[in-house]
Amino acid sequence: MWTVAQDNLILIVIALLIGLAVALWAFRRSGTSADPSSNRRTDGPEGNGLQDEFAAATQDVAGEILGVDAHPNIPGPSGPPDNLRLLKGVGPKLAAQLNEFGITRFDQLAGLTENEVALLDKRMGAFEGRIARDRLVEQACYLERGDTDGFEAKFGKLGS
Amino acid sequence: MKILIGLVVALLVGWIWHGPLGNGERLIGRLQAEAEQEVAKSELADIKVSLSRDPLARAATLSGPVNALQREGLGSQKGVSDYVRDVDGIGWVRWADEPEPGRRITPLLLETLALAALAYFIGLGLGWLLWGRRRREGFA
Repeated sequence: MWTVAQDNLILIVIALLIGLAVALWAFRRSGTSADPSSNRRTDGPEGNGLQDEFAAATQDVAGEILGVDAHPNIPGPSGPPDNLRLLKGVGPKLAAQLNEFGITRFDQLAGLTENEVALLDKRMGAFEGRIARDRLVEQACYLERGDTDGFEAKFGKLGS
Repeated sequence: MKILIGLVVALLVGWIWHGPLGNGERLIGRLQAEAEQEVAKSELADIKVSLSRDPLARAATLSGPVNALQREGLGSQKGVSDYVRDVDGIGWVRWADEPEPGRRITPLLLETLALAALAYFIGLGLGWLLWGRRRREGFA
């Protein structure tokens, strides 16, 4: 069998690469789409394709170099503010920080694209990384829909 | 479904590699040449060795006018069968005038497809480790 393996090394590499490609195809996107909270906007004005992501990344870098806001697209509030402190991991300081950036409602958080989250995160100072770590967007998706059962099943009791 | 499609593609590549691209035939041809060289070491005339072609398999069949001692050897004295078994890659050795072995010979195509499937699943597993693992629930 070892001789067969040695003789078919190229085939083995090709099959391995096919496996990796299928894994990328099957797991990378389905990991988010299978999630009930994934009805949040993921493409927004930038889209999800490789070209869109590349364009967004270029825009980010250019914006940083030029010192301008390259992503002014964080949606504004569409109604009265929500209690952001209901989100697990959000205390008064983090809530105030989010308010400073104009985020006062769950639907605003739920609607953030990955790029917008990344951009926002860079400005979070001491709270950098918290949006991702505490999965605030995912939490906000549940609360925006009023799906407290789904929220509690996934993140624990609301308001505790 | 995606995983199944990938498996079919990997198996298809394995079949093309083995058949149309001729790698199965090449391997068996090489093993036969090596087996013939080894048989020549026994310095016995008129011994023929052939590898299974239908289906292609790493199974060598020997034929020729030799006695049991010359066939299987004795103690440290090697027989013709031993010389052929020593060829790296040959899986089965039998004499043409002996009954068929009890265990079935695995066709080379099946071995190649099994390798392709194994490599595919290893790739899939690596991919799962890279992209598919669920993140730990932080608040559950």
